[in-house]
Formats: sequence, C-alpha cells, structure tokens
Amino acid sequence: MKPAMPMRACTNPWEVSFTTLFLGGLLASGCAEPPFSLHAQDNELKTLRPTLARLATPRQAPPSAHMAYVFAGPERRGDKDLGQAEKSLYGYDLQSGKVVFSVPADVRSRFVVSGSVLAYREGERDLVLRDAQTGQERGRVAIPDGETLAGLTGDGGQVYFVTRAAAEKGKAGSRSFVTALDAQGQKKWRLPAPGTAGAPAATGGLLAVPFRYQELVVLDGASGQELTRIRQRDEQIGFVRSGNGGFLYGVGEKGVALLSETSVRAEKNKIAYAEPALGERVRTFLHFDGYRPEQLQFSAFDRNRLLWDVEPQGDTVRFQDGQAILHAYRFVFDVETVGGKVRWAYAHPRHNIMSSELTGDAVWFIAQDGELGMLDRKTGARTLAERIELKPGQQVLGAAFDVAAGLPGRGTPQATKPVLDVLHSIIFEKDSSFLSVKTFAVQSLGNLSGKEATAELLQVVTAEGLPPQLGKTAGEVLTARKDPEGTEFLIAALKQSYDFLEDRRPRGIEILAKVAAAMAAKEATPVLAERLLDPSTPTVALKEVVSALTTLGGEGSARALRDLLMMYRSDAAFQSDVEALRRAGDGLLKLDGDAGRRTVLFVALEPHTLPPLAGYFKKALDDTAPGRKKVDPKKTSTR
Amino acid sequence: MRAETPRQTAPFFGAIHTKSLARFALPLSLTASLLGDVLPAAWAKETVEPGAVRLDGVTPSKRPQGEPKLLGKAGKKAAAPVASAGSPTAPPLSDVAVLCAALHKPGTSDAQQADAIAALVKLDTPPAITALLGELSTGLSPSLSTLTLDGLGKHKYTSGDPSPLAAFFQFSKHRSPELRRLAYVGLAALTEPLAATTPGKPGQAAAVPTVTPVQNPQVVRQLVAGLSDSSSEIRAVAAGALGARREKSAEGALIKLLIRKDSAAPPALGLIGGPETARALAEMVGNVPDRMILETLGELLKRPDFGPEPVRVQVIKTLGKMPGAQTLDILLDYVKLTAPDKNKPDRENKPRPSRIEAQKIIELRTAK
Repeated sequence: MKPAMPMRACTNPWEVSFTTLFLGGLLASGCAEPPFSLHAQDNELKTLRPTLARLATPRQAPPSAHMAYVFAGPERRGDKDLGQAEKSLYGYDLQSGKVVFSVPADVRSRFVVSGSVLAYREGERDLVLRDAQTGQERGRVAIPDGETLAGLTGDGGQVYFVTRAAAEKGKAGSRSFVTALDAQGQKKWRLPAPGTAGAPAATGGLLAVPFRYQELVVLDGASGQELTRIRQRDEQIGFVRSGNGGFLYGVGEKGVALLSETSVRAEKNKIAYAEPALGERVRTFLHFDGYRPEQLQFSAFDRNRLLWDVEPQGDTVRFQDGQAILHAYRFVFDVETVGGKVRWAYAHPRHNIMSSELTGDAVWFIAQDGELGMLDRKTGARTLAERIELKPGQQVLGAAFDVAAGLPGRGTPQATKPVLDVLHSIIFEKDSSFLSVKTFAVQSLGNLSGKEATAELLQVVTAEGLPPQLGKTAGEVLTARKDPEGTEFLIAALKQSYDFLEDRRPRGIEILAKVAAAMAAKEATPVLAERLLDPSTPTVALKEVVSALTTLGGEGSARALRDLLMMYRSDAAFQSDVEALRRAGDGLLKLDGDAGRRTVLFVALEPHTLPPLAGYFKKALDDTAPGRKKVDPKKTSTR
Repeated sequence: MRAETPRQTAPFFGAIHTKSLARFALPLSLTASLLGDVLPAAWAKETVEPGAVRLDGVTPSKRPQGEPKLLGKAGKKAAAPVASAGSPTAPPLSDVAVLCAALHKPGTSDAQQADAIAALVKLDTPPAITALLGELSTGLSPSLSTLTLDGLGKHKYTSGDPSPLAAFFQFSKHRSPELRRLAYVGLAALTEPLAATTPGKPGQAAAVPTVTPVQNPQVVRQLVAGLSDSSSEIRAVAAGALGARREKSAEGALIKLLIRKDSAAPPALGLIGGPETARALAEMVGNVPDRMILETLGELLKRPDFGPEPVRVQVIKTLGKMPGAQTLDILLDYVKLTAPDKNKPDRENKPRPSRIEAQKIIELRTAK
C-alpha cells in the first residue's frame, strides 16, 4: 500500500494556472487522476501497452548529428577552482574537425541536446538554451526560488527539467515539479509531483520520470499527461535513460530493466531485467543516480562508469553484444557482461579521459587536455585522434557527444594493441592512484588464455614497487587459474633469491608457494626446499612454503622440513610465532613415516626445544599415535 | 687433491638418525621411547654422526686409542654430575659423553650449556669435534651455535678429524647473520688437514707442514655465494677468503661487488684481478667511488704477476686521470717498487715503461 502523501496548495500563480490547465485537460480526456497522483493505478497493462506502442512507432530520423560540446575551465579539485582560467563552452564539429563556436559559460550540469537546442544549467539558477550549431543563446530560464534542479533532459526540440522543493511549512514530505520548455525556453507546462522525482529521460515524444524511488511515471511530452506508471515492488528504481527499444530504468543497484509489457510484473526476476557480472572489482555504475542532484554536474562519476546498451530478447533483455565498456579514468575496457572477460583495452596516455559516450559502434571520448578520440566498439582500435585547442590554463571538465551512429572516424585507424600488452601497461603504470583499475587489470589477466598471461601474473607477484594488494590479487587469480603450462614460469619465479651482487631480492614467495600448492606443481619441490632454507626468505613466507612442501611432497621435501625444524627448534627468534615450525613437524609426520615421527618425537622431548613447539608436538604425536582409537565426542555421553 | 667422498656432500641435517638421539642425556624412559624398536642394535657401538665424515674419509671406527666413546653407556654417563667449568670441585670435563649429557639435561641453564660447549671446544679432540658437529646437527640455540661454530672455526683440522664442511655449509644459510658469518669464517679458515708431524732428526728442526686452504670446489662456490649475502660482514669474510686463496674464478663476482661499491672488493680484487679487472676498473670511473678504484689499482700494481706490461701502462694511465693525493701516493709507491735492482746488470735493469709513465705523471702533478 502506498503511503499517503499530504496534498499541498498551489501558491505560485503560473503554477496554479498550469495545474488548472492540466487538471482540466485530464478530466476532459476522461482520466480520473492527475499526473503524479498518489492514487493513480500502477502496473497496468492497459495503460502500458499504448505507451509502448508509441515508443515503437518509427520516428523521423534526426539530422545526422556530429557535434561534441565541451566545457573547459580551470583545474578543479572537488568544488573548488584551482586557477583563474576562463570557463568556456566549445562546440566542436566532429565531421570537419573544427571548433564551430566557443562562448564563455559557467556550466553546472551535463549537456542536453534536443533537436537544434543545447541546454544546460549555467551558474546556480539559470537554465540556458543555445543553438546547438552556433552556440547562440536562445533562452534563459531561471530555476524558481526555493527549488533545486534534480534533472534535465530533452527530446524533439523540447527541454524538460525536474526541480525539487522542501516541504511546505507544517507539512511533511518533499515536493517536485516537472517542467517542459520549448526550443526558445518558453514554458509549455509544469506539473507538481507530491514526492521526490528524479532525473528524467525523454524519447519518442515521451518523458519518463523516476518518482518516489520505486515508481516510473511516463508522461506525454507534449501535454504532460500521465500515460502509465510502473511501480517496482522488490527494488528501487534509481534512474531512467533512453536506449535501444525505449526507456531503460535502473532496478536496484546493479541491474537495469527495459520498459516492456513485463514491467507490470514489477519484480526483477519477472521483468526484462539484466545485470552485468563484471567481476568483484568493477563497481557496477550503470548510470548517474537520478535522485542525487550533485550527479547532474560533471564529476568523477563521468570518469568512472559503464557505457552500455541493451537489446531485447523475447520477454527478456541482454546487454548489447554481451558487452559493456568500462571507462575508468585513463583506461577503457571492453568487458563481457557475463564473466567479466576483457576483450580489448585502451590506455590513454598521460591524461584522464573526462567524458565518454557510446554511440552505435563507436566509443567517443575527450581527455583532460582536449584530445578527442573514437574507439571502435568491436576492436578497440582508435579511429580518431584530434585535439581541441583550449585557452591558456584551461582543462576539459566535461563533454557531451551528439553523434549519429555510423559517423566515420578520420585517418588511419591505429593498430590495436594486444589485450595482454595493454593490461601490462596499466598494471605497471607508475601512477599509483589507479589501484582499483590495476587490480581489475590483474583480474582480467586471469580470463586470458595462454601461458603468457600466467607469466604476466607471476611477474605481478614478484615485481618490485607494485602495491602489495596487486601481488595478492595476482596470487588469487593464479591459484584459481591452475595453469599447468605456467609451471616453468612459477619455478623460475621461485628461484629468485636475495642477491646483493645482482641487487635482487625475493618477492612474493608466500604467494608463489600457495600457487605451487594449488597447481600441484610437484616440479617446484626442489626450489621450494631451497627457499625454505634460504635466509632471505621472509619469516612470514616460511609457513606457506612449509605448507606447499607438505602438500606437494616429493623428493627433498621431508629433508627440507626436517632441516628447518632441527635448525630452529630452539631458536628464540621463532618463539613468538612457531607456526612455520609446527607445520614443518606436521609435514614430517605426514610425509616421512617413522623417520619423521622419530624426528618430531625428539623435538617434542628435547628439553631445550621452544616450549610452545614441544607442547604442540607432544599432543600431535599423541593424537596420531599408531593404534590410538579416536574417540568420537558425540558418542561419549555423560549422565 | 683428495677425492671427495659422496658422504661429504650429504646434507648436514640429513644425517640425523636415532644414533644422534641416544647421545642426549634424556631421561632413560624417554630415550627408550624415542629409540624404541627402530634403534639399530649397532647404535651404541658406532656413535659418530654420519654427517661428521672426516676430511680424509677415515671412518670414526678408526678412533685413536684412548679416546672415550661418545655414547658408550649413555645412561650411566648421563647420571654423572655435571659442574660448570672452572668449579674447583668439579671433576675434569674431559669426557665427551658427560658434556653432551649436560647439554641435554632438563633444567640445564644457558650458562651451563655454554660451559659444556666451551669444554668440548677446549678438548679439541676428534670425538669432541664430532660431538660438537652432532650438536649442531640436532639444533642448538643461536648462542650455543655461535660458541660451537666459533670453536669449530678455530680448530686446526688434522687428518684424524671429522670434516666440519657440512655444518659450515648448512650454517652459511642460517637466518642469523652472525651464525652465517661464523660459518663463512670457518670455511675461509679451513685448510687441508695437516699430516702428522714427523719429528726432525737430532739437531735438525722439524719440517714445518705446509698449510693450504681446503681444496674443495664446493667451498669455493660457497665463498663466491657469500659475496651475494645481504650482510656486509659476510661479504667481507668471503671476499677476503677468495682473495687469500687467489681464486681467479671469483674475479667476475668481485668486479660486481666493486660495482656495488662494497669496500670488501678492492683488497680481494687487488689480489686476484687480471687485465679483465683493469679494464673493468677503467670503465667504472665516475660510477664507483674513486678511492675504491684507486685502492684496487694500487693493489694490482703491487703484484709482480700482474701484467703484461702494456696492461700495467694502461693502469698507470688510468691512475693518472684520477684526481687526489691518493693517486700520487700509489704512483710514488709504484716507482719505488719498480726501482732498478742494483745487483742486476744494466742490460737487465732497463726501466719498465709503466714506471716511466708513472714518473711522467708524478712530474706533471708535482710541477703543478
């Protein structure tokens, strides 16, 4: 049952007039409830079907768009400008490769292109509409006092925006307003919404607005009439955007649904829903949060997001070509949405990519220094490399691409680098600020076939100067990978010991030992035995080396374990942590038969053995004594 | 050179068997339980560690007459009272078994154990050496290992002694740098066992036995490996030993050591370096501190076998390019060292080109 929401009185004169007009119109059209009414029916197929029919109606093809709109200004850190450079809006013709206009503008939202109109928020309170080709200002609309811009979209020459206002005095709950403007900035209609409305999306003459976190209200773009409403029962609806086949709305934190007849079922496993499985390291950021006004502006979210589209498959939906493009700062990955395998990767040199857009078969992007690029969606080959000449002190702060699908790139496409090479360059990139991306790259290596990928992972484990977390991740990947072809590389990696002359030191021995055990690489036993008795092997790694030798067994393993145990059984350096020696004794009991048992017995009984070790072995010997019957504690009952 | 027996290369701790266990003065019941049915019947008769093979391959059964067996009647020995060395009422600590028993007696303090080790070292007999090696093989605390290795390192080995090589090799990989250092010191000091001294005829001095470093390729390999150790003290010991042995095969490693700016390299390299070293040194100028290059070149020039003469000339020229008073000192020393021998005829006393070069440089520098 929906919570009851208090109605409020309309006090703003033009709001009153619009509301009256709409209510009148709606009543005239036979609809019992006004838009956003709390009493409107939801999840109704009879209202959804006509809406979907309108979305499916072929629309007049828009003129071939080929513009990039770029906002540049001084470097920003958080909300602060770090310089005095002018803030400018550039219009760049991607077809001719020229800047067609440049105007001073303090852009405070992402751009919206609707027909020939370019709209955005300028400063705190103005919505500005410009000619999309010339940059000429067409209109300027002030956001009403007391209201906050919550979203902006456009379609067919109209611009729509959502604002929010605090609850009226003495009343609970927030209020929202949805407003439509024509291409000149004249208000066409404005609707109050009793509750929180999110950032809208528009396509095919329809406007979809997330409402009260669980609902999606579809309005007629021309009149503002509510056409249908979906209420998701099991998850929040966090955003709405347009895409292939109509409206796509975010369901929960990780999934997306296509507005379709199944939507009325209102549970994610019953609707046309898709959720990418990209691996645990990828934050599933499918779209900007429709309920967070701060995400209207260009921010770090523009530099760390997924680009994707969906395609219907009967009653369900899947990600187009089973892929999503992951844009993470300087890097772009084509990731399979099932399993997270990286098909191609692109590392942009030096500067962050500030904005990116997926259009048809192209991934458009612009870097901080004004460098524009286009990547082939299928191969990752770069087919455009140009630069917008920025004014002194300026950096790109955000951009939008209004590009028709199929706009060709210019120049000779650059050869695509093998994924392995790109992942290597990302992992070993000196900039340490991309730990998540690097970790993702390491995990991606695990999805690549071939022993070269294994060798690369081993290199990550043993490399100098890399964050330890990467080595750990590489070890986990190697452990899961169990590539038998990688044994030779593993042994080579384990052979690395401290060498003053060569300025070399062992790295990742602990991880390598775990990997050897997981791979059942018996060939590694001799070199593991060497490392066990090598003074340069870190103490913390000894435990894993001992465990690996115990797991692998083989010639020399028992001897190495015995040597370690005897050499250090009374060494106070092990007093605080005898685990390695305990494991060595356990290994001897397992691997070395009577001889091992005798050795452990000696260690247990010799008076100068470290007490915790002696005590442990006495118990272990007792527990494993031949002929000893194990007592099942469950069967021993006491009265 | 004596052929290496397979047993000499056996890992040190690989030699631990029940025989070792019996040496400890564990309570009788404990010893019995430890040894049990697996104890070979012969263990009490043959008590020497298999790892403790003598340098000359002589088996321990050829024990010199009069030396006590290590383990004979171990239980009885274990019951013997042990007093710390130096105690006026203490019985003489000459019995190896008693000392070993003291080491493993429950409740023995560190000081008492140290006394026992010191006494074993002091005994300086093959059974005592054998016992010390056995103790090392079954694990001692670091402080006792230090004492033991120190004692073994200072011992002058004869053909009747067991070989400490396996122990030194094993401890050259110990996690304690100090124990590693002592193992290297032991390896460095290890000589071929001295033959029994034959008394000279009346009126004649006894023949002085020649002391040569132990001729074992494993030792050289280990000493070269010591140059890669993380401890500078160990590198110094290894470099010094290699230099003293004039171990030509270590030249490359020592050059690398010099490149790493280790002060242990110049003296050693000076003792064994040849033309290869001279060339490498010339290329190191600017990358390695001048004083190290100068020291090495100076040592090379002191050696009469260093050459040929054109290489010496090149070395002098390299020296001439290097600034500082140290250069001048080396050149002056060289001129003195190569002064014509007044006892030789003039035709054999032609001045060496390298000396002439050195004199030229000295003149130029002093003129300035």
